[in-house]
Amino acid sequence: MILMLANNNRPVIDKLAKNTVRTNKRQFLILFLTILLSAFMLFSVFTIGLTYLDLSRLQNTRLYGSEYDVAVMNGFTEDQKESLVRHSGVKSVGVLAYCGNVKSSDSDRSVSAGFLWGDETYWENQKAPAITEMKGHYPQTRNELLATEEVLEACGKSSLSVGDHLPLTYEDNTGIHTTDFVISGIWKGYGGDQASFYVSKDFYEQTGYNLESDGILQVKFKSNYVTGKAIEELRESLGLSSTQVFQASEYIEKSLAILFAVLGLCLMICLSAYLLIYNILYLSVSGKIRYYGLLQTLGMTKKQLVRLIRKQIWMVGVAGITAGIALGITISLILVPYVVKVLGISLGNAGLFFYPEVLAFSIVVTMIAIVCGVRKPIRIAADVTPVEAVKYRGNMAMPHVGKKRQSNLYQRMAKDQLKKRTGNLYWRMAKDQLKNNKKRTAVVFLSLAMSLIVFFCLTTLIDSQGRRTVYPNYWDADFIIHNATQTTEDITSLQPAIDEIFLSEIQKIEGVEEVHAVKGIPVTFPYDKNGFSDFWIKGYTEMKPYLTYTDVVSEYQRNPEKYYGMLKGIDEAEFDYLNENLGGIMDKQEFLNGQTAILQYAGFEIPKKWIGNNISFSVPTGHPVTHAPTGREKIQGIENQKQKITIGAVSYEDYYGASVNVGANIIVSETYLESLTPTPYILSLNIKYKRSYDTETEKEIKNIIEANPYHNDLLSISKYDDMKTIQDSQSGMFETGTVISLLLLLVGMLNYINTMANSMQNRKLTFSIMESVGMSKKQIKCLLTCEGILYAGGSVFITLTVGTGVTWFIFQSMNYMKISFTIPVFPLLCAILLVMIICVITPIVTYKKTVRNRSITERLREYE
Amino acid sequence: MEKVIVKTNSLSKHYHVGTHTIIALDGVDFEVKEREFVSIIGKSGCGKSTLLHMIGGLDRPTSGTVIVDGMDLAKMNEEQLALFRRRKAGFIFQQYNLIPDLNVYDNITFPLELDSAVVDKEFIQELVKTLHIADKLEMFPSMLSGGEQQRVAIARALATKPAILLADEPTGNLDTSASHDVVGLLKVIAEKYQQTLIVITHDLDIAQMADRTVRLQDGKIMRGK
Repeated sequence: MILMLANNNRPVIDKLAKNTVRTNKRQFLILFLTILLSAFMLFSVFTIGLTYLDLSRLQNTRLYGSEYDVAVMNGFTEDQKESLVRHSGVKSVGVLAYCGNVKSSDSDRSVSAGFLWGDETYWENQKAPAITEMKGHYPQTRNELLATEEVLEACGKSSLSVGDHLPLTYEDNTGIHTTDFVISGIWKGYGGDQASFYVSKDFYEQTGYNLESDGILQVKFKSNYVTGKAIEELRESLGLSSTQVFQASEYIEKSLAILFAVLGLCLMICLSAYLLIYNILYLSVSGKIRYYGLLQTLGMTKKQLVRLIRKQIWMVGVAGITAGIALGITISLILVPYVVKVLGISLGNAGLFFYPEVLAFSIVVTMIAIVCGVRKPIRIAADVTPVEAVKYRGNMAMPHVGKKRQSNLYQRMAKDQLKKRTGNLYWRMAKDQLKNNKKRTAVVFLSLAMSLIVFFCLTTLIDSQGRRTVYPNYWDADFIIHNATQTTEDITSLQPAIDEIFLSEIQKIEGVEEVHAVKGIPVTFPYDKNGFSDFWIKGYTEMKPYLTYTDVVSEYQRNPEKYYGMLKGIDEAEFDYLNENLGGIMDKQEFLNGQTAILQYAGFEIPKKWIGNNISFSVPTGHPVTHAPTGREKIQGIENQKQKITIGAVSYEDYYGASVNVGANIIVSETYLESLTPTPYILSLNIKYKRSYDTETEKEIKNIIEANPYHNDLLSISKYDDMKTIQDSQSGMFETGTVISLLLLLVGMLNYINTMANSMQNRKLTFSIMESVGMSKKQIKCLLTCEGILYAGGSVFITLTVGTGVTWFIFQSMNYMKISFTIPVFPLLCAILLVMIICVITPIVTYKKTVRNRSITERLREYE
Repeated sequence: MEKVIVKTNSLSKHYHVGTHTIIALDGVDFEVKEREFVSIIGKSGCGKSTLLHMIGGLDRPTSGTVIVDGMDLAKMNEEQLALFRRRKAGFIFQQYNLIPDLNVYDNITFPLELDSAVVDKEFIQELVKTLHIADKLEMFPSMLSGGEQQRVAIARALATKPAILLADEPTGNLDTSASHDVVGLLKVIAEKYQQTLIVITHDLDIAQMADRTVRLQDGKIMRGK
């Protein structure tokens, strides 16, 4: 009797595994490269992806001027602040407050700049990420100011530097003052606060403003991803008053959706890596069936065989993962910082680009892919009997025919055995090839389509990045020009900075589709106790605590022109848009006839009783008079015509409030305005291009503005410039996104090439047989071309259908600026073309490689 | 006098394996007449298959000439050789070499389809009936027995009505009874369609069924030129 005792044969198996890998370097190279590629792809894509997300957050910080997620505006109580500070989900609570505005400097009589005060948390934690350069320090004493180059230029003092004196006349809640300030610091960076001075706490405390009514609390959450529910709970916990405004940034509101979109991309990338490894492992093990059969013939048990295969794969796997990660680290730590450096983006922390968790994640995912991917091939190798293995001839196995198909098959045979199959031979055979190897076909389709979809998705997001973050201008204008020649108290200050010639020059530009002008004329509102002007004075003095109502009323009665307002005329199309935004409450005909008007909100509450009420105003006719005739009045020696109009609605659009007059802005129809005055001033132009962001049109408009003698008093708002500013603030994102998408495309292509190389190896015998019965090499190339086109076509089809859906979903979930979904046609077409070319060329090249110059006989003998 | 359809002159084929040169054929002069049935015998590695491959246009000689049906195969380019294999020669291999992705019918008509030729359905029907595979047409090669696969290979070789049939140990994987059946069939069909038949075999019984037997040794013809 023979005793079957176990013995320690591990060293033999390990030695054999090492030797097999060593002697079959070429065969294992494909597997090594595949694992390397997967580990590299995971590491670099996630590293670059996380950097991209960090840059994206940084860009938002820069867009908003400081790092916060929620703002509580119109004042706050100390209790509310305390409760926020104590909140477990809150990272920081900063205080920011407005405390006055500059009226003039000794170099400029109409300065538009504000005073802001921020507490230490705001300045040190929340504002810091948006600052790129800081000279000097934050104001400590009452007369110190922290400036930007922009605000100094607005004061006509751009040559000043830290330590210089700056006398300014400013207005706060206590009145109008002139002080000789000292510049304590100058900062450069991002945000809408660049036209403001920062002041000290001491200064703030003496301006008459208080945090309970004017302060702003800026809240930053600990997590970058917060649910809408958590935001709502925070809002409710504060017990806000009716005047307080709680505003979450749109970015944080969309943060979870963004996170899910990013996780979706991650899943696709991990799946892509798994498919890549599984496919090559499958092909690699099945290609060695004969060898494994031989080992079984020599007495190797199945268990030993499994151990041998596992050992081989892990040796190659560990080497592949190490090399892949090393390559990833080299590229991520050298390439990405280099790109960022070249673009001049300051991050202040070079370590940002290395994420240890990504390193661990990449290793784990690659290992899981190997563990899962190797199971099936091992089962196949272990289940094959030695005799079957020795007879194994590449892919000579029967194509998968299920039981159902077999039974149908016999029925069909009986019916018509010689039926003629239709269609071109090559296409038919190519289709059969794809059908008969469903698994391989699925792997190729999925990996190619996945690369294309990720490319599609990222290029769509990158392409829209600028547009997605630009706030649309009023009525989605491409360019807005405001006439900024007005001063507050001088009714005659308005100049014809935009005239009909200027307007027609703009209209004549090739790329301009439409121009809508807001025309206007200064008007006065006669004092009427308890009437409209009285109501307006009350509202105005509420906003200026240093003014008393009685003083203003008596000054108003003496000089109503100092409190002048504007009558603004708009065209029919502009009315339609405005009325639509008002909910269509205005009667169009009444408005066009000059019976009704729209009152512009001026910062204080307008009671509903004014809607439907008549208001009186005086329009200057332009004629100098000594005595005003009946129905007319004399203001500053000019004849004025008295008019009445009914207020139909109140508009809150800032666009119509872009003026410095104290009195009301009344929006009427252009026709009505022109019936009162034949030559109104043009106050604003709303320009729409035939093609948004058209640089040529933009340049022509700017040239016309430059040639205008009033060009210093023309205020321009350009959608293109806004987009460029945002692109600058997010520079690096475009490049990193492009690197990721190209990398994934490359990985998809390499996966296809790898799969095809293996497939050709497996089909070598079939091709030799085909040649032996008369198929020429040219015909084989035709067949392979058809197969390549089918692979490419299938992948492109999946990309254009499923991919468009996925891209649309991800785009919309990140689209917190509500811009339209546009497919980046050119890059997508290029990628599709590239995939087509690679798909067609690869099988032909790999076929040539497998055939080399050997005769059919030599190739057939390999399998005898 | 019957026409010579195959003629080789000083035909040599050398293979290089590492630093060694293997002489597979060494100056073979060999002729086969039209409609003749020739069997080639000899030990393993004597050059039988190499000679058949040269005649079938599957390989090129190192020196000498191979003329089949008036065509000098050594002077043909790859494209012309493919056409020759498709139209003039029908090859039957010991391993059958059927295309695994195609069913029996498609395997048989494959050379015709490569030529975009119209399939002579009546002829194919007659062929598959003669070879007893009429009920296997939609099956894939791996669903058939060895004998059935070999019969499909014969049908494929005959489908284009070639002038010459070349069979490399067609019975190598079959039992004795099936072997005799297959060779018998080949002989009947070759006679029926007036084809020349060259068969390589180890089996002397089969060799004796031929009109003439040629023996090869060390790449040279020893008997029956």
